[in-house]
Order: sequence, then C-alpha cells, then structure tokens
Amino acid sequence: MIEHKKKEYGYTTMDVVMIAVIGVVFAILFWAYNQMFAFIFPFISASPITIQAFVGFWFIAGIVSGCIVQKPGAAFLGEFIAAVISMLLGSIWGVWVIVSGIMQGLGVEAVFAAYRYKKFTYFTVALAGIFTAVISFFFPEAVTEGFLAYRLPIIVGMLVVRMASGALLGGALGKFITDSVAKTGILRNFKVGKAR
Amino acid sequence: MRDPVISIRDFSLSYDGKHKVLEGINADILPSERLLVLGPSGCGKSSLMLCFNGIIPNLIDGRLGGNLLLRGKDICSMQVNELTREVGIVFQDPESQFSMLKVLDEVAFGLENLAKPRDEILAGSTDALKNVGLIGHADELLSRLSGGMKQRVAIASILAMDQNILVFDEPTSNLDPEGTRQVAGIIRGMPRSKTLIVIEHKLDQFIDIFDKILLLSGKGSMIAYGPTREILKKYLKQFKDMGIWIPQIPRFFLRLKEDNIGTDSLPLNLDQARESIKRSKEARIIEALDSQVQKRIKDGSRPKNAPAVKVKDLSFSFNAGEPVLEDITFTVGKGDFVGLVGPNGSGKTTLAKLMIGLYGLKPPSEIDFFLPDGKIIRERDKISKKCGYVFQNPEHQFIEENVFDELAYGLKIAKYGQDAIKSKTWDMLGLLGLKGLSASSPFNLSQGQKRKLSVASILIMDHDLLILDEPTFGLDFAATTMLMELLSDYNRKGKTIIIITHDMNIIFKYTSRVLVLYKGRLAFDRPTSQLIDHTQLISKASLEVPPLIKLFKEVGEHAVF
Amino acid sequence: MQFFDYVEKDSVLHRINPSLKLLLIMALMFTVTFVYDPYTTFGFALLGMLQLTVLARLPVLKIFKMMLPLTLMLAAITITSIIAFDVSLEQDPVVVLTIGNFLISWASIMFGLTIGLRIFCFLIYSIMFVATTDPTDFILSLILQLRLSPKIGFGTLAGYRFVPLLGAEYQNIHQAHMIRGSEQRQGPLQRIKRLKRYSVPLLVGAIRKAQRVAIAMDSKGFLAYRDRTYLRDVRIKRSDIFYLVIILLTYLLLLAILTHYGITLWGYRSLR
Repeated sequence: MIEHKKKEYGYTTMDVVMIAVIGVVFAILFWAYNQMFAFIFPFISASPITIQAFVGFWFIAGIVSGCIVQKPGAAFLGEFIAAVISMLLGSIWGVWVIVSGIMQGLGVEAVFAAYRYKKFTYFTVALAGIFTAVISFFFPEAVTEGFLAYRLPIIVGMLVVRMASGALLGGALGKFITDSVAKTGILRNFKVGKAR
Repeated sequence: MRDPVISIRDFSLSYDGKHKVLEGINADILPSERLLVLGPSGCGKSSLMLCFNGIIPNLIDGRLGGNLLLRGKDICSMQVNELTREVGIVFQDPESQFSMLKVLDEVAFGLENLAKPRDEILAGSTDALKNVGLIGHADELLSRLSGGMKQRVAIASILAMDQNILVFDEPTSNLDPEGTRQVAGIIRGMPRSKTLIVIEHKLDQFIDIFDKILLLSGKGSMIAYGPTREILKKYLKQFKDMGIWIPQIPRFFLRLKEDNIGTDSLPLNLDQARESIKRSKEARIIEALDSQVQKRIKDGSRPKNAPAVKVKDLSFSFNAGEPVLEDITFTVGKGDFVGLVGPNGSGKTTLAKLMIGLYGLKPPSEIDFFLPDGKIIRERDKISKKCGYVFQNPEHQFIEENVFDELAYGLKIAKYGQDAIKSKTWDMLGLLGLKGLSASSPFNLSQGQKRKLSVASILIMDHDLLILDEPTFGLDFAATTMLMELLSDYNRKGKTIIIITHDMNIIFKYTSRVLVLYKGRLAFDRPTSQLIDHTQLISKASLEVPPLIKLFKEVGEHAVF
Repeated sequence: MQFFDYVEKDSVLHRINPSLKLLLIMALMFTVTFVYDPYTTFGFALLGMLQLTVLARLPVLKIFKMMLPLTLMLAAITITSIIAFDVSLEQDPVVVLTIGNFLISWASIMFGLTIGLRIFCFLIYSIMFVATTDPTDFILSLILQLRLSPKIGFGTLAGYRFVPLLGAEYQNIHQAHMIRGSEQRQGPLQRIKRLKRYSVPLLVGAIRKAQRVAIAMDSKGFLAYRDRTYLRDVRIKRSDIFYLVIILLTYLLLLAILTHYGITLWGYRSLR
C-alpha cells in the first residue's frame, strides 16, 4: 500500500520503530522460550553440550530484522534492542545480556555485510547463525561462564552443537519466520516484501 | 468571503504510479469549518489525511496530481516541519500512536520536537491536559488508561502543539461507548478557532457538529462535497449502496420524507428530532417511529428451552488477587442468542473464557455444560472441545499458512476424513465468498474478511455453543451486517450463541436476552426488550441506547395528540 | 504474564543517573568475571544485596521469592561447571571424587561455586538496575549522556511501550491455539514449531503497530528540527559522581583486603 521513502544511507523513523518492535517481540519470545523450556533447562544444562543445542534461538532477532529491513546495521540494531529489552524484562545474565546482544548482533551483521546486504538465502542466514555461534562462544560466554577452564573435548563438543543450533534455530528458523511474515503482505514497504 | 485554509483542486494520489487511490477531489475548506469525510473502508480517506500534513509525499512516497494548497501554498513545496506547525492528526488506534510511556511525556513530545524551551513545554502540555480533563493523570503510565482516556491524551498531545488545522482519523471507532462519549464530547467542545477535518463512521454522537461533508466512493473518487443536510438528503441511496452507516435520527426522518411525512429542516440529533416532532404534531411520525423501533428490537418471548450452560455461584480471581467476578448465577438455554455487555473491565471476557474452560474453578463455583443428549460435563479441558470461542483479534487464532488450511484445520484435528474435510471447507469458502482467496495468507485479507474467516473456522466445527468476543469491533457497517447475518443463520439452526459487544444496535436487533455485567457482578439477566426500561442501569453501566430507541422512549410513550 | 519491572519510588539508587549506573554495574560485572575464587565472588554478591536493601530500599526477600525457580538453574550451572572443569589445569589436584575417568578435584568444586555465585551476581546487579531505573530516563540518558542517536532511542522507547500489550497478545495467542487443539503434543520439535506459530501473528501485529506509530511520530514533527529539546532533565549531577567514587572505593577496598590475605584469585589459570 504505502512505500516509505528510501533514504539510502539513513534510517527512516519507520525503519527504526520496526526494528525496535521486532526486538521487543523476540525479547518476549526469549522470555517465553525460557518459560517453555524452564523445566528442561536445569536437566540438560547439567550437560554443558546439550544446552548448547538451544542457544541458536537467541540470534533470531538479528536474523529477522536484518532480513526484513535489509539495510546496514539493521541486524545489529535488532539483536541489540532485543537484548536491552530482555535485560529490562529480567534475565539471570543481567547486564551481560547487552554484551551478548552486541556480539551476536555483530556476528549476524558481519555475514550480511559480507554479502553486501543483497543475499538473504537459507545458506547465508545459516552462515550468519554459525558465525555468530562461534564468536559469541568466545566472547562473552567463555568469559562469563569460564568455558576456557573446561576439558578440551567438552569445549569442542559444545562448539559443534552450538554451530548447528545457530544454523537451524537462529538462521533457518529466522528465515522461515521472515518468509511467513512477508507472505502476509505487511512488508509491502520493504524490499523483502517487494521481491514477491 | 474568507480565504480557504486548504483548497483541493482536482487532486489525485497514487502509490505505484498506475493505480489511483484518490481521484478528482475538489474542496475548499474554510477557516474554523468542520468537515466530515465519509466513504466506505478502503476508499483512501486516511491517505488523504496524510497528504494534509505532508507525510505523503515527504516521508511516504506517493504521486500527487492536481493541487493541494495550504493557505495558498502548495503542500508539496513545504517542509515537514513547516507543516507540523499547521496541521495535527489524531489517529484511530489508541494503542499505536504513542511513543512515550507516560502521559505528560507523550503530550510534551510534539513541543520537544519543535525545540521549545523547557518552561514553555511544561506550560503547553499542562494546558492541553487540562483541556481534555486529564491533568490529574499526568504522571500515569499510558498502558494503564482506558481506550477513551488514551484518545484524550492523543488529542491533548495535538492540542499542545497549537496547530490551527486538526485532523481526526476515526477517533472513536476503536472505543467503547463510554470512550466514544468522552471523545465526541471533546471534539464537540473544540474552540471555534480551529478547523476540524474528521473521518468517522460512528456518527450518532456528533453528526450535528459538521458544516460540510466530503463523500468519497469506494474507489477514492469524489462523489459530492457540500453542506451536511444537503448531502444526507441527496445521497441517501449511495450511502446505502456503499454500506456507510447513516446516523439513525436523520435516516429516520429521511425515510419519513419519502412517505411525505415530516418537517422541512432535517433533524440531526435528539434535541432537533424532539423539536421537530413537537412542531409537526403528526401522529404518523410516532407510528413510524413505533414500527421502526419494533423492527430494531428482537422479540425476546421464546419458549423456555433445555439448558445449554448453567453457571452457578461463580466467583473468580487471578492468582488470589482482587476478585474479577463475584456470585454469578445464570442459565443459557439451547438456541438462545445472548448478549453479554458491560463497561470495559467488568469481567466479560474473563466470564466467557471461564465458560469454555480456559481457567480452573474453585468450589463452590460451578459451570455445567450440557451436551445435546442432556449429559452434563464439567471437566474444563473437555468443555473447550465442545464449544467454539472466537477471540477479539482474529489474527491471534490463525494457525495455518493459507485460508483453505485455516478453515480445514479444526476438521483435521477432529480427524475427519479427507473427502469430508475438502467438501466442508469448500462449502464454507463458498458461503463466505472467499473461494478466490483460498490460497492466500489469512493475514493478507481485509479486516472484514479476516473476521469472517476467524468466525468461519470455528463455525465449521458445528459446535453447539459459540462464544464471540467483540466480533464486530473496528468493522464498518457493511461488514458488521454481513457477519451478524451469518451468526443469525447459525442461530436459526438451533445453535446457542453468546456475544460480547459494545454495539447496542446489535444487542437490540439480534439478541433475545442480555446479561449485563457491572463491576464483576451480574446486574441484569432478562429478555433484551426489557433492557430499555432500566434507565438507571443503562447509565450506570455506561451502555449506549441507540438514539432512535431513545427518541421513541422520550416522545413515543408520552405522545399526546 | 509477569515481567520484571521498574519499581517506582524514591531512593539513593533511583536518583543516580541511569547511564552512569549502567556503566558502573557493567564495570563491576566485568571485573567479577576475572575473579576465580568463590569468596571474593560472594563478597560482590553480598555488597550487591546490601545496596539493594539499604540504597534501593527494595523488598529483597519478595524479589528472591519471585526468582526461586532460577535457583534450580543456578544449581545446574554450578554442577555443570564442576563436572566440566579441566582438572589437568592443576599441577597437583586434590581429588575429591572419581566417576569413571572423570576426576573431581577440590579446585573443580571451587570453580563450580565461583561460576554459580558469579551468575547470581549478574542477577542481583541487573535487578538493582532494572528495579531502580525509570525506562524513559534510561533511554533519555543514553541519548543525552552516551550520545545514542535520538532516532534509535525514541524508536526503542516506542517499541518498549508495546511490552505489556504484546505480552497480553502472547497470552491470547497461546489460549486461542490451545482451544483450537494445537497444543496437545509436547515434544521439543512441537515446541519449536509453536515458536514459529506464535511469532508470526505477534510480529505481524507488532509491525503494523510500528508503522502506525512511526507515522504518528513523524506527524508530530519527530526530528524535523535538528536540536530537539527535552522536558525531563536527565544529566549527571555532583551527587552521581559522589556515589560513583564511594562505590568504587568500597569495591577496591574489598579487593585489596582479600588480595592481601591471598584469598582473591585472578584468572582461571590461578586455579591450581
């Protein structure tokens, strides 16, 4: 219906509020995700490797806002805002959620930037998920949870499972959700909605 | 003659360059004039509003044709900040026009944007809040306010900026009767120095304030522009054809006129109608009024049916908090069409959700659900499989990717055979007139179609009891009528329907019984036709009696000729 | 849906500039991640709770009751860390327990306790921030003191406004899907599918609202002028600096004393 004016090198108010609400929606879903799996987490988190299977979902805010707005910085901003709101809603990781959000946002952003914000296929989003899984593992999570003092096989196992989770629960699921949202026609103002 | 503030000359608008959203619009809006813009939903009214303050084309792309002049200056040549000082807009949805958390911050937002000094911002915001009667709420969170209060904050935030042209884009259409009254009152009381441009389809409350009407067709072209009474008189047929709600009082008198009854000047509100009837002294007016009102009130005298649901001694609270419902006892009979009304926050939705088993009960509260064979079930989880519930926001219950699957979803869960699912679903699509859209996303439908789909996806399950939470909220007249007819048909098949709504026209026209909830207690449980006699309850529970029925109550019963 | 929230009242911590408070808490939480002994970590936790009760005057017991389910999580993380700890880092491990090939040493247990207490610290200090910081002041402070772009700041605030509304919508969607029978299967894959089914209607509704809010903001001349002014007076006051110095000195004193007695261990390599 409405085409918002493109300012190529800047964000319109609409872009920013859009990214912000995507961040808020996922902050709420992160919260719900915690509740949904609250009874499972203590058991699986007793095994450092299995818990890594769930981390990919935390990257999804960046993936979705990056795929929808398709401008430099959108992925980073989406993940960052989701993190700030997550902290405000209450999280045991406290202020570190913000640091995680920054690192995860940078991870997704880096991959999208490498493709010059032109390719948002299942392959690129999976790559974004994997890359983010790796860098956010070393900082801040290895620092906050002391992973570096773990036995080496455990570290390797954690990384492998984490990368798979990043690709699937972060990248693929994020792309799947974006496509479903685009199908509804609500994104006619944005590139992703026009491609259809 | 005064110079117009806004002149529109052969104006057109297109978003994609091909398809025109607005076309052939000509109007001269004079200073301090009050203009009503009317048209069916999707006619581009809102787009026109966004042109007035330059959002289109400055921030949203659009191709403008013809001329749109603000005090003789082309709007396209003006900067947004220039236009912001001239034109303010109050939008339809009280939930989505605020950017701040608290009332005072929101009202100050515009003045902050205009880079005013702090003391000026404070003075301007305080004045504006006083004007809408919310100064005592300055430090409150917006999320805690009622819809009507939120709209008043939205008006205050515009008043604070002190623009001369105020645009209202359906300011009351998302509000309950109490909120509508509040907002209509404020618009009515606007200082005469302001030019008002209002889009609205719920007009019973304030049709009389408008000097002129701009009537648009469904395709966005101008049908007429002129004084209110003249347009109502001349274009009655077009109103009807386009499904635009005509305010009851003028509509009644226009009908009379077709039969050559009535007076010269067309009454627009209750006072004028009363006057007009007094002056004309025609008995036929009262007769016509009587027959009109009878048509509008469903006869509630039905034979006593076997019970469908029995609610006994029901009290309920969330997490041991304040009680939401207290001591509620009533029975709904099989085949009843029941209206559940009451002010916001009186516990209607909670009661409805309890009836379908969404929350657990504590003794002595009891809800018995009767199967067609008379068997009683009380287990909460079993009840939810036996009756249908339609949520207020249709999007909340969409599960599947396309319209067909969405309709077929419940049948699949209920394990119907492939062929049965197909034939039932196609039948329903045909009934709804949605066959052509079977493959599109449920979210991609129009507001009215979405609502139809959400109701139909429950209807298709053929439940004996159906509960609907404000199914006509935000719909225009045409869509409302269509939906209510669909429900009436279902009811005629012997199904029981309970409907939560604020629209008293629906209550009087379709329901046989009304339950009024007030502060968590059942204040009324009788045939609908008896409700109008309980004037105290009506004002206490802030229900809105349709003006025609009001008129009938006032003049019809005491008419002496 | 019960989210953690700002507790509106007046206290020392409520009056501290939000950016300063955030940066200070971040600095403290950064420091505590280098600490590898449970005693110092516990000291940080203790000082945090002290601030919560004395400086923020919050009902600490009530807050902890709310957080009770999280203790299960903290316990799990502690156990994980004990098991996963690499005993070969130690030159001379004091073995406490052997499970098959796995050695659990005294250092493993100290490590586990440290990590558990550390995350407990994260929790306490974030409560301290969230409960005592007005969200509007927080964003304004980010704009005014930390030079966040107003567009992003106000955009975020506009988004944050939707938290209660979207929380209620989440609940409604959950109920609607429940009565339509989509919640019967409970496997992990079903739960993930459900995440998608929840996120689409939530996102569609939220995006539609975002578009309207953005138009409303632009209509009120948002950023039409380069220098916008602010009704709220959010700045760094002398009392903020005073608070900053006192807090820093307190923590330095704690670290100095504990280091003097050889209790504080820095970095995981010191666990030997």
